Amino acid sequence: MAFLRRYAASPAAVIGLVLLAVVLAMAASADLLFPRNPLALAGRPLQWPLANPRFWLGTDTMGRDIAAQLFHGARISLMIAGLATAIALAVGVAIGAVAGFYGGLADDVLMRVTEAFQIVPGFLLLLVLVAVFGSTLTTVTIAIGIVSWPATARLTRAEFLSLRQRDFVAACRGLGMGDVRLILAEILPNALPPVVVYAGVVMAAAILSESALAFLNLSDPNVPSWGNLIGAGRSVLRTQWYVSAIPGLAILTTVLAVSLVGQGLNDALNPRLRRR
Amino acid sequence: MTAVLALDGLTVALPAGADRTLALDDVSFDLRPGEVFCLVGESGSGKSMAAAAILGLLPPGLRRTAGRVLLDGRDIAGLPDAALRPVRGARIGMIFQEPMTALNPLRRIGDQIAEMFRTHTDLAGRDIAARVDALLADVQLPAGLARAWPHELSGGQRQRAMIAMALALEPAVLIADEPTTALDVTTQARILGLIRDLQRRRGTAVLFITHDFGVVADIADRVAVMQHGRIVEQGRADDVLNRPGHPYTRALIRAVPSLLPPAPRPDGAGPPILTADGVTKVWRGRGLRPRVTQALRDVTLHLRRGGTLGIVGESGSGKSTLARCLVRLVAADTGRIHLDGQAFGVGDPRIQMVFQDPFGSLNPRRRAGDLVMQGPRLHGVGMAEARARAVELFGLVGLNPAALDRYPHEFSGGQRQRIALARALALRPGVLVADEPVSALDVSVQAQVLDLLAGLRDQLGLSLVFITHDLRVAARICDRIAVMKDGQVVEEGPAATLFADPRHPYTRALLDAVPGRGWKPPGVV
Repeated sequence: MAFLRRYAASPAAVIGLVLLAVVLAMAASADLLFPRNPLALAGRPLQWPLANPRFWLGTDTMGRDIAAQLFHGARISLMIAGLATAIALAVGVAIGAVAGFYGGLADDVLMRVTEAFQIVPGFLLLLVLVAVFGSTLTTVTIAIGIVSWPATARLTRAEFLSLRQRDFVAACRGLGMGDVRLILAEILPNALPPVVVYAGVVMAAAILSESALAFLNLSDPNVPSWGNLIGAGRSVLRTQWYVSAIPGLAILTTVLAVSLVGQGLNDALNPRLRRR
Repeated sequence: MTAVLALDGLTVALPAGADRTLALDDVSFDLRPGEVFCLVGESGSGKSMAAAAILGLLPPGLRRTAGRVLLDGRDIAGLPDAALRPVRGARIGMIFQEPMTALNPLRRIGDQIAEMFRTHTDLAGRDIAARVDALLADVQLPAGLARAWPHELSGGQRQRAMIAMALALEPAVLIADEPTTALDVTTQARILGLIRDLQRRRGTAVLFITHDFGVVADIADRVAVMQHGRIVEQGRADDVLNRPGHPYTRALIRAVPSLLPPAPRPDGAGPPILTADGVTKVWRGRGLRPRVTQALRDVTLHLRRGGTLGIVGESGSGKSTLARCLVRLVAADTGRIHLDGQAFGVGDPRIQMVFQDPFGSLNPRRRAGDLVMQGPRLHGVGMAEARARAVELFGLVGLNPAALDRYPHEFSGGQRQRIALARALALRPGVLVADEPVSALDVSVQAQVLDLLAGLRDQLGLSLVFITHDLRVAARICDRIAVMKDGQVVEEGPAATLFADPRHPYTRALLDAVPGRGWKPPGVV
């Protein structure tokens, strides 16, 4: 309850939550509002928004309903972002926790591996992975997850490094607790808040990565993602700019919402920081 | 004599929702030239707030609602920062508790002292350098230290540098906020001597803030005792210390442990329950030229069944490393540690530990009851029985069993240490290793926890290893005392003998440095 009150104290955080709820509602209502296949031909191509009452956001270069693609695209974009973030967190937290808790050789090896991933620019690595493994929805999601975990690992490791020195860990060891329990039940809950906050950043970056891939025609062309729609509008960017601008606005809104929620969580979880 | 600094009915309001409405409530006192005036109180009594209010450095959210601060008869309360700047540092100097954080780690010591002159005077560079050298000599630091960085100095040297800065412009008033609390006892004695000496020579008025009545006895001319933001008693040091009038002062003074150990208790028969033989521990850093610290050198100690062995030493003497070696949290390099004549490993229920910091030693995300039940659950005790044990232990350590479901942050420091004690006792250990269990606590809470420990020891037949830097605390609870210095036990013996007839020069130095050793707390009833 106190947590909710602290969260609600920041107007930006509440706006972020409302925007996120809108995007989620779009994703949830897509089948209800647009039961037809959003990638099917719907009418004359390149109709401007509001020009035809059937297509209130207009149609794209191939005569597909932009509104339908936008709603169905919310599903795809959120799903890719959510799963990729989950992969990044799972891998990152596991590696960071082990490296930070044990230190020494385990830390050296795991951190060198992490750095190997970090020295390659993330998007370049993503392009390589997609080029090698193909661009289906599954591979794109996993590839985004793979390029996103190193920062989470470093953050988790830093938390573990400081928490493992704390007396409560020594106290639990003194009671006879084993390493697995110490890591999972004692240290991890204390290390999670900054990681949860950082997950917002990972998620926003995942949405952007997928859009960038799609813009380069490297994402899965068989799903109605926002990036695909932007990519489709590229050829008519100067004349029918709305084809790219509408999904672009959707991406902007979602990334903003996720970032604001992340920031709000951060402030609510660290009330002392906020009072400055 | 007229007062150089006077507080007149100073009242500071706390923000709404705090545990009381006023941080300072009608605080009035005079500070006369050439005297040391001590402000004594427990944590949260408002003594540091008074110092901050004088310099206009109140934390955000706090407001002065009434009263005046008179410096040489001029009211400086409520002046804007620009008008206060010539006062701060020049007319009123300040020394803080933690000399490491009060010095800028990126600037040389001499440079930081010179800053005072650059800010407040138009002296030329050469004159400033000469003044800095003179100041370093005044605080008995070698002149070469002007070129040193803060991290190259010991805690005592840093505090001397802070004093040099505070006294640079010969202020009429020096405010010292717990200046020796973070220091070792022998260093503390030297810093107190220095402050006293400089103050006499220069006629500075010193406002000395402390929680330690021993320090008060050593340094104060006059004393004011604070409680809940109010001054409950003030007067000449001799009167307040030896003939306290207010019940709160009496309770505080009664809580100060006497340096006289109680009558020796009969020694337990049979072989010792815990033995350490030739224990050595070296800490090695990593890298090409690792820093090597010899933490323990050939330590041999025996704890008798039912006895209390005190381990006394200053910071860096290896006493905490020894505590962790004894419960096997840290593996010793060489030597044997035996419990009941056998080797044992970490997590043995027969030997448990209580830590210094009751804030750090309890997982903030677990309820108090879970913390206490954790140990028995790990060793296969059923849920219902573990809970019953926790309820029983809460009663034993003087906590309300209804508080089992509360989180650690909802308890005070003393209560948290009781939870930590209950957790250690939940495994029904025969030996308890307590690492500075009362040094983070206020003196009155300290007395309660010490009494509780002694009571539990007798009631449960515990054998106790008690680690402390405070000889007064050691005198109160220990049967035997081992004095450690640089990883070695330099002297070990029955507490009464050790206090009456110390053999090793270091033990003697430690005893001489105990603040207020000449003052015997009156047997107030």
